Amino acid sequence: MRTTVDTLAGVAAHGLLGTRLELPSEPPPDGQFDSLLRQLDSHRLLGLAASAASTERLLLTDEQRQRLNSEHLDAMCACLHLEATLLDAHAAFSSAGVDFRVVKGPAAAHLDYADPALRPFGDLDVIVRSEQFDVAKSVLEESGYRRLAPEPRTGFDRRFGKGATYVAEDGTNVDLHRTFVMGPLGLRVRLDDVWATTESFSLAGTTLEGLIAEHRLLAACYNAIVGDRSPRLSTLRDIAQLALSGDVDTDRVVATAAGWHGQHVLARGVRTTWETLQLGDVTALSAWAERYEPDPAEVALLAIYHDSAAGYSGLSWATARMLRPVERVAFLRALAFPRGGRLGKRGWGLAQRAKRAARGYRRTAV
Amino acid sequence: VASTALVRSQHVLIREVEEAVLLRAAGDGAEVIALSGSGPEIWSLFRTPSTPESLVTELADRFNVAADVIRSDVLATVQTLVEAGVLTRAHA
Repeated sequence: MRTTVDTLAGVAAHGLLGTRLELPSEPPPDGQFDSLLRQLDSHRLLGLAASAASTERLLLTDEQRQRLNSEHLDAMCACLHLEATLLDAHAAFSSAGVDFRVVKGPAAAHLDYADPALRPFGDLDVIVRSEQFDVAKSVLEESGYRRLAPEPRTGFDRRFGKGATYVAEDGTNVDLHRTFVMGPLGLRVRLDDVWATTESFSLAGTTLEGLIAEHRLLAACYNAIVGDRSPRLSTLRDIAQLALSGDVDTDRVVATAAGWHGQHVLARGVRTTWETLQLGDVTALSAWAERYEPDPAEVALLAIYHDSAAGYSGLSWATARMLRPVERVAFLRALAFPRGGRLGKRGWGLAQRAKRAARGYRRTAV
Repeated sequence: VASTALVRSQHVLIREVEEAVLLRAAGDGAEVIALSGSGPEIWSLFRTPSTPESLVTELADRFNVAADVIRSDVLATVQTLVEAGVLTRAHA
């Protein structure tokens, strides 16, 4: 009997030419279907599953199919509300003169899939310029959003941060990004590259700016390899969708990744996608990813993100080491003596913070 | 409403899912309208300006039924779409 994990991967690869994954030849037992449905939702795969079920590639009983379609419909209603929120944010940012790009879910749904119904999303992600980050925060706060975790110290976000998560009264989450990932890899992203180019899409008559295909692919790889402990299958599908689309210039994406010190991330993202979705087609990018051999510094850098024992403090020390001395002092001061009680809820005193920081430093000072 | 030419608003968010069409007017507090059955067909016909009455005639011809049989259902659907802000008056 096929496991739920196999079925999820099969759904994630549904419709991709060259995948060797096959979906089960019979409907899942009802006891397994509940879990499958939950995971399809959490991996943002309800659209692909509904599509696979409608063409009978994913075999379900009538009742299971009705439940899947009902879940998909609910997910799409949520997406429409999120898109309306995105349009409100666009209006508010525009009137405040804040330049922004839509990233992740909504941009992927509209730019990379034949039908946006195939790609559900659960929140909104936008990236703004570092120098406009504080204005963008004010815009959201004036629009009634509440920041989930306070800024450690004034100016930390726009200098060192990845971004901040804001939540509206109705629970809508808006992730305001300055870069794609926290820590040293995030600081190495050449943000000028991001702002020099754009690809737009239309939503209810409004033109929104997203990233170009090469940057979307890189952002998805950062998300898959260093953003989440275990990548969502929809993120890997996004990578496959882009890599197989013909829209990505391999030389350009590899050169951009090199400029961002992110070649290892790109190679790992593409390889993980090819392995997980069992893609048989060899493209210029997948061949490059297969051949790519990271140098020891790249391996060590990525290891910091995956070393759960080093955790946040490990990342912080690694970040500090790449900053200029003046910036390093400001960065460490903000983390060690945050204003706004960043660590206060955990009940840590100064001694505990110092101990934790030192532990991280020992583990990462290689 | 029956003799007023209406057309799809430009400011509508749309998803086509399985056998339904979901519509939501852009803007605060709007609700999502789910059209199924003949609803998607009605929505489709408003790509170009149409009066609800002409739509009744068009659908009656298409489905080979008397206009009186479907009029109240079609007009009710159109009314819902107008109230939801996804249809707007067509300008000449």
